[in-house]
Amino acid sequence: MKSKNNKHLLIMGAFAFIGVILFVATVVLTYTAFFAWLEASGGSPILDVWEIRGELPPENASIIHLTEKDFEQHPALDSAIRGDNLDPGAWYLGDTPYGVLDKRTIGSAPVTYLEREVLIESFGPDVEARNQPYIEYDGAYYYFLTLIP
Amino acid sequence: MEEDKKLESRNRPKTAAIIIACGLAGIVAVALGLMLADALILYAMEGSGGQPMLYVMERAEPGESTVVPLTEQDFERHPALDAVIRGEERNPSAWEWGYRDQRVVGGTKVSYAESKALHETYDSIMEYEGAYYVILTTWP
Repeated sequence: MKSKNNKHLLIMGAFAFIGVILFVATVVLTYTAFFAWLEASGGSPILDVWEIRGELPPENASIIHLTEKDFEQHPALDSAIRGDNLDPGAWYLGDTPYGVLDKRTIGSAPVTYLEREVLIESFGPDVEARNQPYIEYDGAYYYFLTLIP
Repeated sequence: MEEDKKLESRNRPKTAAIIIACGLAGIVAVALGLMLADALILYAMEGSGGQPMLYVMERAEPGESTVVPLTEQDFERHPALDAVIRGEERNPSAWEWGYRDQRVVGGTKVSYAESKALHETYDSIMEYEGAYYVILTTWP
């Protein structure tokens, strides 16, 4: 009788042991796999914002006037134009989507692929017509490019 | 010899029961482990300080995907979705930017847990008042 009880206890103990081992292994594996995946996908696209100056914009140009709501909904744009990632460079004459103009880098911020898609859908360029709008904020004109790693 | 055989045939269901119980214990342990890991990941992300966002994209055509209608219950359960589609976070862009068959309707900040729930619940094309929407959640 006693040996039967002992056998039962032994079997229950083995179950519990296997259960605990599998439980811990699953937690550790999933957790480390998730963060390893995050690390590996570290090469995120970069949002680069440029300011342009000159006789801008032409009469028939498409202009997007940035509002507070736009900045609130697109934190990366906010940080590049007026936040932590604002870091204006020197002015120089260079190629822009509107021709050769005086331009300077204003700021850049890392974005996810989805954020990049949302930025393009919100502020251009028009993929079909290859038309880039002028982005205006506080009297200055901007355009942005997203670089994929 | 014969007794041995008898014992063996009596032990067979017992062995099978033990194997099944072991398998079940394993499945339960792995399921519980996955649930705990999920909760731990959410907890770690909440502490990371990044800001997840919810964006809603409007599609001109639903395409060939299944379309699920959004109900008042959806808006009640997810106030962020309500705010973006028909509330104060609605801020639609022009159709002409990006691809012309879609535009961004708006976006708002959400918690990681809310972002995960939205991502898991709304993985198809949604319809509300004749317009088609796709729900996008971004994790920084």
